[in-house]
Amino acid sequence: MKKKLLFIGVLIISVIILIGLFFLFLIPKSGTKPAKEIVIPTPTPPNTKIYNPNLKLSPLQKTIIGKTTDSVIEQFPNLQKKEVLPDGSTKYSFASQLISRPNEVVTHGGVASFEKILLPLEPEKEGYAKLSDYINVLGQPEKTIKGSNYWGWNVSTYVFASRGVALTTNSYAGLVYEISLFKPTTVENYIQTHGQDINPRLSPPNEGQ
Amino acid sequence: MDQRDQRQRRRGAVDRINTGIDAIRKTQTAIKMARTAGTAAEVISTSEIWIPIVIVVAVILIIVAIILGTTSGGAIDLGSANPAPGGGSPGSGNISSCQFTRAGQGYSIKSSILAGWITDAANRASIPPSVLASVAMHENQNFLTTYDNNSPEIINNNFCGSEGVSCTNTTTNTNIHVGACTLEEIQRGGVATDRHRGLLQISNYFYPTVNACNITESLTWATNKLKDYILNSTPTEAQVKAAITAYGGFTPGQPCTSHAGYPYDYCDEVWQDYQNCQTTNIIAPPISGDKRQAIIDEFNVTMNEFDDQHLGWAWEKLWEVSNTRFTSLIAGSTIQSQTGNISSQVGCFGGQTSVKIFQFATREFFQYLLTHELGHVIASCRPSEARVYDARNAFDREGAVSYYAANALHCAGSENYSEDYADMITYYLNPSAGLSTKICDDSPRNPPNPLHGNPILKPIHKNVAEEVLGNFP
Repeated sequence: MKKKLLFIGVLIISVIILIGLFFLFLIPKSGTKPAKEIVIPTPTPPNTKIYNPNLKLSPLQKTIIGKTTDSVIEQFPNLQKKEVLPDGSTKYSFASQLISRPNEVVTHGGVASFEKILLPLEPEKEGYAKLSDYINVLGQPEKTIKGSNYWGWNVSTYVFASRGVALTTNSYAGLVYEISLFKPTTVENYIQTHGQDINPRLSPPNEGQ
Repeated sequence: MDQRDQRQRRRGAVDRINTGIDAIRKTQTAIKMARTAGTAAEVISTSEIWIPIVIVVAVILIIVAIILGTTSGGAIDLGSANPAPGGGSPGSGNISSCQFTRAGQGYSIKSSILAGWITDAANRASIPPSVLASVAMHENQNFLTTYDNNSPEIINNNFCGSEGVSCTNTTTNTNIHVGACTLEEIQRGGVATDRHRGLLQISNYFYPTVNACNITESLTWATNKLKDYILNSTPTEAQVKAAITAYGGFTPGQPCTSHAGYPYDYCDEVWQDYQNCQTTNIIAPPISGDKRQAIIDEFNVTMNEFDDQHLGWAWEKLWEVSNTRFTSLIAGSTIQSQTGNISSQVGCFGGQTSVKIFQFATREFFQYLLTHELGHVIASCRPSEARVYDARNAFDREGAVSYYAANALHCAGSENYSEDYADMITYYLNPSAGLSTKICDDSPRNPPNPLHGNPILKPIHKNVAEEVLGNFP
């Protein structure tokens, strides 16, 4: 009996060692540094009225229209250009994944009034979310308009005007290319003010002639 | 040949089955270990206490060894930046997927652009690309194995480094030894200190006018040298070895180790590399029955209302590119024959029409436009895998891949980036095609293929296409 107890004891210690070794493999190697986090003083927490609460947001996605200030926006990474527009507002341009499509934030009276940012298409990247993730939070769009001058005839803009959100989407693949945030308004006013890229007259090109 | 191709295509399935069998075997091993542990509990009542301790420790060591083995294997797999395309294994004939030896050690070519230049230069002279690649690996292993597509030398098509020096017999054009000629040798006469420049280590003494720093020019020069002995794309051992003997300045009839202090036989290694990287042309097997159904069964592509000839052309093209990821990316497409001589992509998968296409009269143009429209399907329906952002950046960096893509908005009311993507795919998969998707007012009628010519006019686009589809041809 004493020997059996001793064996069980040895077995338990062995299992503990084994579990310890297992966790040892899970710990990252000392040579790898964690990604440098950007400290953004305000606003926190992220805007859960727009984004899925489980989504890991990029710094730009933490912008809140009407609240985020110039001083915060100037700390966002990859700032390329800051310019004052004729109406006195300030436009910030940030490098995105696309050379030809910088992220933009416009401030008016010292706080954010408009933002348009490119979203990643790769699930592993920060800020990636499927169209269904947005629909789950925002509900159905007030208007869907097919056709984008930049993205092509088959890309649609989902307008949630009263929520201050518009999504440029590839509805075939259920992906979102861009998100625009603005002060809540009407669909017509959104299209007039920020809808320069929307072009419902586009159609599949006829090729081969 | 057909059966071999089919075997290659099914290799993925066989691998998965083997993985399953391995898992079952591991489970059986674990059960045996558990039984061993159970037995150990009985043993302790009749044996000394050190026996079960030894058994438990042994079991732990075995498990740790298994974990270590699994971990290290995974790390190796993750380190591969470019997954091999379907069927792109050694022996497929694609030099990007072959290894080339130097001193008995196998290496891969790191830059896909460089691999493309080698292939194009060799194909123009109808010599095997693998022979030229092996020569380049022997002449400048460091460049081939470490310089990638983003290195300035590749981007600028210019590499002068790694100058080698040898003492050369100026009469026979053979190397006497590595390093400069001695004073005594020079006084005896008939020798000169020669300097070898660039990727192909071209002799400055004998070929001072060749621009050895220009990579594509030096490849063309080397190809022409080899072509003196290698008469076609399927050379004999004697032809390959004679070509290398002449190229390397070795003494004919003697091993290619004779003078340069090489610890290996240059000629033997090139011949082995060529054999290990044999080209396997993918030729579509004949269809005895319903071609439409065969395309559905083989590629999960439904072609509605096409005549027998055009079904056959589609079958051939899909087979030809089946070693790339193209066929898996467009699987599930429905292609509808169009009565007017115009075509377009109109949808994705799930039974809706993906593409409408006219049954164009020539095989080349029908296959070209089919892959163009299916290129749209990849971009629109699988954007995460399509690298559409990379393709748009390629457009912004080096311009549109075609006149049509640069003018699609005015020419067809389309959007330039989207047409650029589809043209990139179709040029990549139709190397011999110099065609235009749509003729606009000022369109060139027979433009060069920008992804397969010499020089490659749009190397960044080619790199994106390769990332999306894998190596081709």
